[in-house]
Amino acid sequence: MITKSHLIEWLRACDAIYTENKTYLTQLDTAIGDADHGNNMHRGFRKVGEQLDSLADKDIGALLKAVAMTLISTVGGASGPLYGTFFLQAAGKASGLNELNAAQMADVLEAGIGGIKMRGKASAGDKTMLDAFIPALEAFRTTPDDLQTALNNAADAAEKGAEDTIPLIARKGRASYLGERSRGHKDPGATSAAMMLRELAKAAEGDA
Amino acid sequence: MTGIVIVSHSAELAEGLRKLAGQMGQGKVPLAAAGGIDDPDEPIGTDAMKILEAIQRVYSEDGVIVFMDMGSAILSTEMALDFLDEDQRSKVVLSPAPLAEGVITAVVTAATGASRQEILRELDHALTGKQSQLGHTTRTAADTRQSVPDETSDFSHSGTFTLENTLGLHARPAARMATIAGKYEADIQLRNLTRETDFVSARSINALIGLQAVRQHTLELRAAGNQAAEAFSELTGLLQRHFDESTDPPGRTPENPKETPNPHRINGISVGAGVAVGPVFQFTVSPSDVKPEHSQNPADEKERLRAALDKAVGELDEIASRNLSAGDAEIFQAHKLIVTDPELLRDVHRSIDKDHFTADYAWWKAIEQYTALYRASSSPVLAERAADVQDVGGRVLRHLCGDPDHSPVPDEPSILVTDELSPSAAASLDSRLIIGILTERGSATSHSGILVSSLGIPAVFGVSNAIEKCRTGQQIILDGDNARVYIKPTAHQLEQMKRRRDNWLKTRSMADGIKLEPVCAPDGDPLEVLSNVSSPEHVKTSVENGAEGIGLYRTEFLFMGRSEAPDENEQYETYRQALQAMGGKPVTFRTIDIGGDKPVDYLSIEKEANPFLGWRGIRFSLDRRDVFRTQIRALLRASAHGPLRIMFPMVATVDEWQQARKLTMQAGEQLRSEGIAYQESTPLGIMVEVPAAALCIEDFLSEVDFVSIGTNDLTQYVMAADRMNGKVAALASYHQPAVRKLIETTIRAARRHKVPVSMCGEMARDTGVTRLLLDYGLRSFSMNAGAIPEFKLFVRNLSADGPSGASSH
Repeated sequence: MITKSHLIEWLRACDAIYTENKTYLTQLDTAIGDADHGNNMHRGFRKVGEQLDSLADKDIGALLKAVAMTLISTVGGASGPLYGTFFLQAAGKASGLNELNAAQMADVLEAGIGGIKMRGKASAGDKTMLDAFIPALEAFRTTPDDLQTALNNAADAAEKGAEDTIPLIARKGRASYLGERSRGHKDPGATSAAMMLRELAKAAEGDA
Repeated sequence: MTGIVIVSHSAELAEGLRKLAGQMGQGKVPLAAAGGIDDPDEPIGTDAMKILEAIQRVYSEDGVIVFMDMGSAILSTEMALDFLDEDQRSKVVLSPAPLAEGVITAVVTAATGASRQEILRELDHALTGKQSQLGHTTRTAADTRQSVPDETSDFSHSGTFTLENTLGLHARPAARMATIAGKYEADIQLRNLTRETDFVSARSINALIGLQAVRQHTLELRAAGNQAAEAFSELTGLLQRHFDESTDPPGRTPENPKETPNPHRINGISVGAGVAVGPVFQFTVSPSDVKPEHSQNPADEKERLRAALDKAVGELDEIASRNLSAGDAEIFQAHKLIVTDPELLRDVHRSIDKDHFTADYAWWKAIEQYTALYRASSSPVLAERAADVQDVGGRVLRHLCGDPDHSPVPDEPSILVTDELSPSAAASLDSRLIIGILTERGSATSHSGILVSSLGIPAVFGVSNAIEKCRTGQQIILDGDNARVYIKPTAHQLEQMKRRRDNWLKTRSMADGIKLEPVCAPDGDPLEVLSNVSSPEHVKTSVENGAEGIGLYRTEFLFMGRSEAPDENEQYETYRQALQAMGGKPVTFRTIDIGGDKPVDYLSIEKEANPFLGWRGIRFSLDRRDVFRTQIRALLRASAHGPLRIMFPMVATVDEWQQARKLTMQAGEQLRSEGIAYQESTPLGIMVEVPAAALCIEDFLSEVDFVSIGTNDLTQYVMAADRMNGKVAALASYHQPAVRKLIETTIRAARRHKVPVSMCGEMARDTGVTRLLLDYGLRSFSMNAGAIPEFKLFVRNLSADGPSGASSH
């Protein structure tokens, strides 16, 4: 089971990981984008981090929705509405719940990722965050074992997916303006998505 | 009206574009900018919540069109839509048009009252004008074929015009044409004969720009439909005025864009609408007013003369510095030479020293001698100089006399040309003889401007050196609608303008026909149309012009031009007579608002460095309680004779209001103890004209019985721009967003608190903003009586358009 406390820890860890990797993500974005992804993610999750204490008594749906609203109005770049939609759609599947079993977790992830597809009108291979999320969801769904293993596999798949964006030509977002020149660089969105899923897997291991 | 939202990563870009588009939408189109994110260190980005708020701010049943730059702007906007309810979302459209071109196209099209669908159709061609201008398309006609009209239309009106403005049919003129074309129920088309294009719809700004009409191109305009005549006439006027733009050959920038280089057409400030065609009647200080008076102190007289000459030279320098063309400079050079002519000065001094004449008489006598000398000359050039001598002589004389007031009375209906009209001269004008007014100085909101606008005479103020350019007897055209004077009109222009004058007189007579009837807002709310009154005579004109009451009775006129304050009985009589003349209609009396701009000796009101920021209005009244109490007693006594309301001017703080109310209550109690009748529930209110009061309006609203927004002072205080100073007149405008914002806040707050709110400044009569004010919730408009008939006609037509205010075509 993933409890609400796990998720709060997860979001706190996201704040930490994006603070830590602010420069790295921005560097990735400098190569093929507008050099703001690290700052944007840091700004958004810093704000989320600040609000977590006040969200402790909410159910998971309300928690994820609050995260969505914060990201929407603080991230600034395209990742704002994209991650915002991820959390908003995910929240819809977790309404009233205080813990998630494997099947519910799968629904939550699927809804969130579906939101990103809908919002960004992108698909696998476009060199976007979906190149981390789609294989991650696939891995989560196909892991028959326990929830923790499924989350670990999902994080592994996301990281691999992010690495696999290096040879791709971007077809969405600012990087798509570069065309052929976007080849040879890792997609910052896929990278931040993989970080987010790794932190989720790590948070689930903790006591709750 | 369809709202427009601008979304950009950059707050500056969004806001800049909003301002640019706002200018083209004439303030009619609800526009909101949602740019950047709230992070001072990294402000570039988009915020879905900000976008959502922007959409909601401009949302109406007519829907919203959103323009975005790119990337996250689009995603954030889509995200924002998720938070709207189903019904609202269906009326919000995200436009794929390029940001700047799209917003401008949409705003201009929306300003014509076009529906959302019509705007979206127009947006498909948002790039057409630019593309054709840059030569990126050779198929202009095909691109604009959507606008090519049905050839079967029966075009009742047509004409050809040559473009003479420097920039040709560029975006701004195209926008003006499209706006006008959109107003009428008519099929109006234009083609470029020089380029042999097809006809395009004049309602489409992009199609018009696509005509690629530049200077010297010939255009053909045609119109069909119910309102073809009106539309054709207005567009013809616009074309013939060259869109009110410069007609300089390209490549030369005029020194001052406000000064038209065309020497025969000069610009000023519009003070009275309408057109006048007729002979000039110059009115300066008349020689007959200079009496052969003596003075025993020649040194003083010479000193007065020197001061007057200094002032005159200063004025000439000031005018010369504004007029840089060689011809104009010469005139002023000549005038300065006359004033500083040692011969002339010697004659005047001799006359002062030997004959002990006053400087006034000595000066004028010498000027007359010189004038006679020039006039007697057989050379027409020299003869013409006589007028110059007289002009500049008069200028000095006016300084000597301290600008006395005279009544200008020409022999035949004429256009009055004067340097500056004093309020009492303005008040004494006979509108049968003075058919137009042209002045060198003054503004629409100066006191004489206010007086003139109540007379219904076309008037243009602030035309420098008008006296030099318009000689008595010369035929000129005065276009009060466009603040323009044609000093050497062609026969064609004369004919054109006479027709316009006829049309204007016709509209006026239509307005006269309905002026006594009540009017309603488009939503059916009854509308109160009141008058502003500055003297007892105005009360009569108010009734005649259909005022439903007096919204502003300026009591200070009672106190001016006399040696002691009017006593309680005199005031009471004046107020009572006003109430009785209004026959039961309400009268709002404003307690005196006198300050250092109009020094009054007996009230020890002295000249101040900043009279408009000084001891005046309620500040004066609270200090001079003797004067205030007398006025309040007189007003309360008059309240027994009709619906009377008392309004305090220049209130800045709640404390001032409370003190004024307390003094009023005390005066009432005193009257009661004396057994004198008065209306105990006399409503008390404030003028909202100091920004402090407007900003804290909520604090007042729980206590006052009514408020009235004085837009003239409010504007100049908000903008820190003197309305009398022509150089900053553009700043001192209620079109400024800061002013509008305060006005909107005040009206909406008053409505919320259910406190009656009216407006009594110049803005109230401006039909260009009526719709906006109605949208804010204003239902009571107070204006100079002369403006009431046309205002009522305008509102009637507005209501005929339907409740949304949008036109049906």
